[in-house]
Amino acid sequence: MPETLPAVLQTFPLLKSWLRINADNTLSMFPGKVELGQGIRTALAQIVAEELELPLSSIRIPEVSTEHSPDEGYTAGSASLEQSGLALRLAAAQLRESLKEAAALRYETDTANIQLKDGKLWQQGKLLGSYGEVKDWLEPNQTITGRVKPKDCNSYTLIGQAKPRSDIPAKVKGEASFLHDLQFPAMVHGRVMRPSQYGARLKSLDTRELELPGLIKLERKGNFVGIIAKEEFQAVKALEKLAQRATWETNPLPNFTMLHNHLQTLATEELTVREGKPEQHFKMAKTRLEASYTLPYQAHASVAPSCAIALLDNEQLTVWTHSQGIYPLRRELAKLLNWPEEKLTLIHKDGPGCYGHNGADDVAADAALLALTLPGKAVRVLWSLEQELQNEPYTPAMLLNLKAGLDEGGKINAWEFTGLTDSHVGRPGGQGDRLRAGWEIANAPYKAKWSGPSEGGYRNAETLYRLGEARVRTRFYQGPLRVSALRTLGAFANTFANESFIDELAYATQTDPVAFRLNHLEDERAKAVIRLAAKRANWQTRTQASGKGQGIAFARYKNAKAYVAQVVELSLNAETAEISIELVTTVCDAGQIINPDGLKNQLEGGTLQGISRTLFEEIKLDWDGGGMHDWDSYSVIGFKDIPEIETFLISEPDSPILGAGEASTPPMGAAIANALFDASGIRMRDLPLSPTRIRQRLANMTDEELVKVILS
Amino acid sequence: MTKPLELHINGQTRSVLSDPETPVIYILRNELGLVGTKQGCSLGQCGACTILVEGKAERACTTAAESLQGKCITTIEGLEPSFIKDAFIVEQAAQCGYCIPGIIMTAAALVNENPVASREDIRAALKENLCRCGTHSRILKAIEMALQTKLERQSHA
Ligand code: FES
Ligand code: FES
Repeated sequence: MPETLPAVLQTFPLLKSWLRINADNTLSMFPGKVELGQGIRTALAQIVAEELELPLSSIRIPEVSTEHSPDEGYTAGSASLEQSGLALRLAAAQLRESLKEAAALRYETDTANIQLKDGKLWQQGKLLGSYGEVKDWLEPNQTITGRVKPKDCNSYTLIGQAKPRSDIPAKVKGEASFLHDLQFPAMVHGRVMRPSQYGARLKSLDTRELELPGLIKLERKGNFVGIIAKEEFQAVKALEKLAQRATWETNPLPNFTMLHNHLQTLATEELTVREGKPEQHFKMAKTRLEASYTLPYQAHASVAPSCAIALLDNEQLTVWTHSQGIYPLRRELAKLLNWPEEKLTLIHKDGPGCYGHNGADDVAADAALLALTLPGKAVRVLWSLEQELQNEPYTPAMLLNLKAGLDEGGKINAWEFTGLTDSHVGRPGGQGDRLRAGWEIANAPYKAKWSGPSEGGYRNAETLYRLGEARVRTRFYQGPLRVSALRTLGAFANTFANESFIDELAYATQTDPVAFRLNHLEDERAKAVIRLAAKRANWQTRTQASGKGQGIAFARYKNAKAYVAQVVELSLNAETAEISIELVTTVCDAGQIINPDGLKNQLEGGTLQGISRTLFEEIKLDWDGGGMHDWDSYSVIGFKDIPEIETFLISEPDSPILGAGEASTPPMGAAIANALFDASGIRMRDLPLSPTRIRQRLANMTDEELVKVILS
Repeated sequence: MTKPLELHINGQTRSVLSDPETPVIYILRNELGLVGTKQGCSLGQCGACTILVEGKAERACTTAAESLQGKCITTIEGLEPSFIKDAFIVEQAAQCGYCIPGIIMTAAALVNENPVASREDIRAALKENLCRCGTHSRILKAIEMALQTKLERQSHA
């Protein structure tokens, strides 16, 4: 049981804010976290049904809305099950006990004589009534105390079961599951004009004698230009025609081939994560090693562009959105539109996977702005793929410099990690200054005010290894592109660097990489996932490069959430320099597991996204007319690249839930780079590991390095 | 510019008034309420909008409605029998699920053309279907299961 009540329960203490028994004997639950394809609805329902002895099918989850859901901020950071799950568990436990107490009072007996089963109350075999029948016995305005003990994990019947996700059948059958699928009577279609060169600003727009069939509105506010048409294809064509009448002031961008050199010239603010003084220890070390690793800018690149629908009706503005945070977005929109919050309703609907802060919030502002010009009509705005790829905030390019000393015994005695990153924070915060349309209206630069240093940049810069005397710090630059949160934030690049470097050190000491890791760890759960991953993957100690290889990497996400170790088996095509990943073995300890299949699904997804980011993904804006236009400009993983994936879970039913929604992405970069080195002798330190990069690396290798390499 | 079009969709004849150039996706989704055909890239690159035209997988976002007159169109809503959809549900082959209807339609064309498709054949058939959530390996398994079901049903028939 938690020592203090979770923060959201302090803000929303009323039991009925979270759970309500319905007359038809179902139970409605009101989480503030939203479904992002992570299966949160089903997992939360399992927790509640478990505490309340209800069949899973009795749980109803209305859409998350500012009308009735508690404000749980953003659905992000692998925190939903930990936070929302705990709040709902405490709420459900209390509801269970109050049902018992109410029945005991009415039947003048002890609560110990009251049993709950399948949504009904019993007194020693005698049916007292269903929850729906007795709900009025309860004190309607009771608050959640957090003092009722949740069920013992040994008596679980639902938690820990691989229950099928309740939302999957409708999605598979093509029913209207997504925001994009909503239809309203007399709905009209909006589009917003955006430059096809990244960050360009509107210079002029000539709308004289412009015939746009089906056009209902052309709205211009500063540099914000939007249209509304009767039919969707009319809106698409109208926008094309309108764009031909615009001229743009182009935006100078850095040379992306030399991107990290440029970033190093920018002013920075520094955050020290660990304040060691390793200088002396470096001097004492027997061997010293240094290496630098880089990540380019990368995009969320959702499978479909962002969409929103807005309707102004009777002075009330309603926005349907697939944002990750309807309350923060409501505050942001209220400020931007200068519109009272109480007259603004936000309703969440599932969207295509977003993986962080993408265009969902921006397009909600676009729709709201257009809807305000046309009361009584639902205005649907959908971005184009080009607009999504070019206007969404990216994850920043990063540069990680590592340095380590090794003592006589081959142990790390000194360590220095210096990261360079832009901020990973750019989400709407209620100031009205974080949405694309707002900058256009104000004719301001194309990105938000800088957020400065914060945790996301140094996430997993520290590790669980014993590293002797260590200094870990991260410098934050203010870069040329719009940035914000992408799944794992800085943890992906930081872990790529740390876990590649650990491998380089293992190699330098001629120690097996698995043994080297175990030698530097004390945390038993960390060791357990590594050992199991090595065992399941049939780990072979490196002998010499053969074209095929194995690599391992490990991280505990945020050093506080799920533990993940991964082994990659791959081969390198000596002619094309293409990597082909054959098998990924993932082992995860996520503490108490609510739904093992849901957890595996998330881990598999994170693994494949990790492969995609390691091998393919890169934002380059100085080619192809200045931007990312489509799936040819931004390459991602496809079905031809999919390895076998084996995922194993270590179950710890007594332990708290450890968030795992992002845990399998961080180790992937290094697991692949380490396997590539094992296969070929080529140590790659710059992502993505494209054939071009591998060839370049080869061209720049020293003779000493080349001897160990296999590649023609 | 609008003219009457007759389309044969899911075994029914539907008449609509539309600009004949309109990509059929807008007619399916906005005029006929068949929203199972998803809007993705709108460029013919991602496969989210895949439908069957005379049994072949086609992109609804780049196919003009007029060109489909007189042809037999199937969308996810009309895909029968349901063993491919069932396999996706059994395998829990979805994360956000947005790509899935398009992938199922691509798979449906494959299953008809090549009932003994190998994993490599499935990969090849799906080479222009994107999934950004990383559900690929479950999708491959689901399609293999569907192929298996079809074979078993045929041998019992
Ligand atoms: S939406 Fe048609 S192929 Fe992408
Ligand atoms: S499941 Fe989300 S894109 Fe495939």
